[in-house]
Parts: sequence; C-alpha cells; structure tokens
Amino acid sequence: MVINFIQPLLKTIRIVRLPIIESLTFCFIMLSCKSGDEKKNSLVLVWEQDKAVAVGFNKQLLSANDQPDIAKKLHVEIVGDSNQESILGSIDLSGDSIFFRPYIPFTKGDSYRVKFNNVVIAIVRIPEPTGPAPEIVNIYPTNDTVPVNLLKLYIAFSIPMREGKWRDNIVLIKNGVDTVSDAFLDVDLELWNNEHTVLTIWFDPGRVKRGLQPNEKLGSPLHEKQKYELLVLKNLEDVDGRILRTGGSKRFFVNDRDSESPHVDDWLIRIPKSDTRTALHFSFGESLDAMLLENSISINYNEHGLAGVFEPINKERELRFIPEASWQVGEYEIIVDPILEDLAGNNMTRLFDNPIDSSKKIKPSLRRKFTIK
Amino acid sequence: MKKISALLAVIGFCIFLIAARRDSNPYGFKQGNAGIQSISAIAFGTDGILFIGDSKSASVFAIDTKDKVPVEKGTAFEMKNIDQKIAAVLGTEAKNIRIQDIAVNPVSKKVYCAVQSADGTPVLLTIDGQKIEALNLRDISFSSMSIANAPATDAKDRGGRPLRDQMISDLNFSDGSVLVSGLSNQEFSSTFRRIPFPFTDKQDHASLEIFHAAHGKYETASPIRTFTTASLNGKKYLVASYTCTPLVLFPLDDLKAGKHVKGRTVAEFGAGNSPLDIITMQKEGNTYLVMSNSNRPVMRVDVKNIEGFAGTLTDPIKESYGTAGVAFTNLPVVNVLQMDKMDDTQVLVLQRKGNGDLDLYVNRADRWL
Repeated sequence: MVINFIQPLLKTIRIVRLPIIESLTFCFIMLSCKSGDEKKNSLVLVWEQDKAVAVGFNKQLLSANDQPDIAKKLHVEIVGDSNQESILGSIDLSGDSIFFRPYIPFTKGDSYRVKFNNVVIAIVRIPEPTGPAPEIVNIYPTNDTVPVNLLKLYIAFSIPMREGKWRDNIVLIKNGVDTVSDAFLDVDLELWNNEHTVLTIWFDPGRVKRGLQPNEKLGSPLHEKQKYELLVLKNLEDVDGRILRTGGSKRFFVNDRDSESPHVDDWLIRIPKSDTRTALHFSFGESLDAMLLENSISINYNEHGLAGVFEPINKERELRFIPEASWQVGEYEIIVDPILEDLAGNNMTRLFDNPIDSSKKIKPSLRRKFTIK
Repeated sequence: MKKISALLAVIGFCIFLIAARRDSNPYGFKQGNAGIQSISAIAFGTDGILFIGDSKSASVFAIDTKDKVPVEKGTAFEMKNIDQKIAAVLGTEAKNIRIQDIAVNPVSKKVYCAVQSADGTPVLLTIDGQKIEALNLRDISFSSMSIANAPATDAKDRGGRPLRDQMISDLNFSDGSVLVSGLSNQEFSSTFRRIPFPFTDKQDHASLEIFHAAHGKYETASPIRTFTTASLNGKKYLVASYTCTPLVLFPLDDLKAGKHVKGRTVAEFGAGNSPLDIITMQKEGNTYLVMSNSNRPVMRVDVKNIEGFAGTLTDPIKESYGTAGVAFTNLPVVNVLQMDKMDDTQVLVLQRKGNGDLDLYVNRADRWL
C-alpha cells in the first residue's frame, strides 16, 4: 500500500520502514496519528541501487494547520554538524506522502535529524554498508614479462571505488628493494572507467617518450632485464569508504623495447566450421592491451557486425570470439579499430614514439577476410 | 471559397503558432529530468545558458539557468573551507565530495560550482557570498547532445561491442559552438569536438589526434588537459595545454571532422607538471593567458608574445625542468585548482592554501596582470 503511493515518484525502490523514535517524536505527530495505523505512523527510507536516496512520511501525521507550505517547514540536518545546516534537496509531495530527497544520497553510517517547523520529529541512522569488502579482481597486463616501454597498467576491482586514494597506495618496487619514484603520471584527472571499477595508471609519458627532458634526465621508469613488483596497498576505498579486503601485488620482468605496431596479417587465426558456435581464435604473438581488446575488433558478415562475445585469454596474447548464432558458410571479415594497442602504446597505425625522419612508414592493415566452410 | 479562406487562415495560424513557439524556445529546451550522470566540466555560453560535460553519459548538456539579470561587476567574497561548507549542506563530510569545476555566469556574475559525491552523484550549486544553493537537475530546462565515442571501424554496426569510455577533460563555448576536449582511460590521445549550439544532429566529431614533436626526433600523441580560445593576429586559435608538455596552437578552422592536425608548440613550461586551468583576461587593451598548474605557480602569458612567436619548438630542452619558447611570468600564487573570469577586473579562484584549507575567493585581476 505504501509502495503504491511512492511509485509515481520512484521507479526501482526498496523501502525500509523505520519506527519514529518515541523520545524524539513530538506532540503534533502523536496527536495526529490514527490509532492502530502503524504504516501512517512510520518514517520510510527509500533505497535505490543500494543508496539511501530519500526519507518520507505520511502527510496525515501533520495537523491541518501544518499542511500549508510543507516544503518550507521540512528540514533535514546531519547529526554532528555544529552549524545545523539544512541539507539541500528536493521535497516531493505525492498523494498522502512527503519525501525529502537530498541532492546526494544519505551517507551510510551517518545519522540525520528530520525537523518540521524547527522541531525534531525523527533521527534516521543510515545503516553501515553491507556486503563483501572490495577486492582486486585483476591487474593488467596479466603477462609476467613486459616491454621496457610499457605504457599503462589497469587495476580491476570487484565493486566501484572512490577517487583520490591511489597515489598514496600504489607503489612500484624494483628488484625487491628500491621504490621507483615518479614512475606514474600524476594527473589530477583520475582515469577510471564509467563504473569506477577499473583504474588506469599511466607510466609518466615524459619518461617513456624518448628525447624528452624527463626521459633524458630521469630515464625510463622501467629498466631492461630487471624485476619489478607493483604493490597495491589495502587502504584504497570503495565508494562507501570501505578499504580493500587485502592488498594486491603484481610481479613482472622487463624485457626489450617494443617498437613494432600490431599487424593483422601477422596474427594466427583459427577458423571454425559452419553450423557450430565454435570460437574464432586469434593468436597475436604478443600481449595486447586488455581493455582495448574488448571493443576494438569486430567481425563482419554481409557488411554487418556479428553479435557475440570477445574474450581475451592466455595473458592477452590470444582472443576468442564466440558468436551468438552459428557460423554460416560464407566470407567474413575481421575489422580492427586503429586504436588497438600493444603494451607499449603502439597502435595499429602509429608507434607511440614515432621517429619523425623514419623511412619505415607503417602500412596500416585493419581488415582481414576469412571463409567459413 | 469561404472554405479555402478558412483553411488558409487555419494554416496561417498554425504557422504563426510554430514560429511563436520557436521564438519563445530558440534553443529547443525541454523541461524535466536532464538525466545528467556526472559533471566533468562546466562553462557558460550566452543568455545564462550553462554547458555541462557529462563523461559518464558521454553527452554535453545545455541548461537554462534562467539567471539572466545583468550585473556589471561581481561582488568580491571569500568562502573559507568551501569543501567543508559544501559537504555540510549536502549532508556529508568533505572527504565524500569533490569539486569538479567552477564557472561564473558572465551575465549575472553568479558563481556556479559542479560537485560530485564519492558515489558519483553530480550536483550543481550556486554560491552567492556565503550562501550555497542547488539547482534541481531532475527538473530543469535543458537540451543535450551525445558525444558517444563509437569504435572507429567502418563496420555497419558494432556487433554488441561496448562503447569506449571517455572522459571530458575540458569544455568551453566560443563563437556559437561548444568545444569539448576528451581524454581516454585507454588510449594516450586526445579527442576534440566542436558542437554548434543550439544542438542539431551535427558536430565535428573527428577524433583529432594531436601530435607533439617538440623534442625533434619523435612525435607522440598526447591528451589535452585544458584549453581556451584566443584571437591571434586576427585568426581564432585553440590554445591547448597538455598533461605532460607544452602550450600548443591549432587554428580553429583546421579542426574539422576527420582531419589530422599537428599543433604548433609555442612554449614549454617545464616537465613534471600538469596544467589545471586556463583563462583569458584583458588589461589596458592587452590580452593575457593565465594558467594554473599542479606543480608550478600560476603563470601569465602575454598574447602579444604568442602572436610574435612564428615558429614551433623543435629542440630538446637540455636543462632539468627547463622552459622554452614564449616568455611567461610566474605569479606569486600556487596550488590554484580552478579559476574563472568574474568580470574585467576580478578573477574567481579555488585554491588549496598552505594550511591545507580549500578556499574560494575573488581576486583583483590587476594583482596578476
């Protein structure tokens, strides 16, 4: 019944009914309560996608004199704020219900005073976050050998994380002894995916790019034939402020410079048979960028992209494409986005660090045909 | 005949209504929930219209602030510990919010501040002296334009592949167009878009890879961090500053769809630094660029010096953290995170002070120019 009157306001919601705290419930509410009607005598906390987004109660809790100008009389404050600032939000009147929706969700673990006409009518405590603490799912590249001009790392987490924490909690160690300082690009704009589950960390491009002053003075962040360990400390926090269950680590050995662009004609392709959903299998001969691999290759059939799933495997040295529908007899075409990169940032059409006077110009190859029999 | 006349009258009336409606809503705004998922950057256009770059939904929004009462000179103010004050009115602690951008409405001189909570919820605030208020983005007059970064293959469709995420690193309005620079969390390159406003289905959507060849031997794509536009010797230029390198000029006329443009490097402000914000100010007929930085003081560049620099920097810098090219002046102010022009004589500044406080204040421009 309560959900019915809330539905016009909110789509996917979860309602948690909170008893109004007796000691903080003032006369005008108690007097206006209809005896035995528990639903009308309770405050509701509205949740959307695990966020407490609104607090509401029934208008019948108010006396007739209190009904006009409800929006001006209802205020919510955070407990502990000495200035007792009213929280900014919108007030929605929907049927018999009144909802205060703060402009950002209520903070988990904090308590809020709900006031009407400057009288506290309830204190709402937002429960602490539940569910498992965040974890590191993977660190890319997953290969344990990388080129000396490795450009970037990705750290994937189990749940959305918050910004502003990685610089103090991610460390590069050389040969188990030395901390490598100034290895990463320190840019104020943090590079996360939309879901805030994958953090991109660039090695300082000024040190990776040959000829630039940081490269000349400080050298490359990585050195050939040396061992490194990327340490992720557990103090990284998720959006609710919970730290990682455990820290993480990724060890790798640094090999020679990679100064070649990926080339589609060099890839080994294993072609499946018709009337099956067997994977089309790519072998690149080197590890490619894990994230770009997921959206940089498409398979065309009759000039339309084929629906299916791309799955990087074997330390991003290989890729499987499993089509949604069975393969048909006919000619197909692999189309590669020019932005697909190897671990050194060399993409399909240019080297990351391209010699200007080079006579060796890349002839980009972005398409390759194959036939299903 | 009467029927024909009546019909013509009805048609004429309908045309009048459509024309009248267009006149009353020249920007094609609609009222409602704008569906803004994040705010990466904000900038004012004309007529109280605020442009919002939303990285998460890969869109640019234009919202009608209805804040159109002209004010000639902004009122100076200082708000100390602005992060704590904003957090308090949003019902949380300062560690749970991040100030994304600030902008001054050039009409009313009112301050707008884009904030994002730790869970990513965007909020747009106004700051008037010590008073903080919010715009309800769920009920606002708006229009929007997608800048989704579709994979660049010429496949007829994407076969279910996900779109690439991109981040809007800066946004400005110039000569009737919204200019947007983008930064990818995957590729080390820049995208740059010019979107005419009012929005239509047209935009110069090319991903312009902009190369840096300052060291003479190698060229490398780099992402634009912040930019402005400036008129140099009578021609309009994009003046871009990079995450790790220099100040680079691009003729705006050259930034067209599909075109590959190499910029002209006119200054190197020193390595180990990232530009944060750049604005244009005038004094006594001279125009200056004022740029804030992550690891350098605020810098002032006289546009006349840029106009007089015809070449492009190609020689490597020998000295550690050395500089080259157009002369600039370091101003005695550091840790400025955001700036905007308040009016011809004042600058709005968001600064992290030496004691760790984050303060917003209005500074007299002549102290810097």
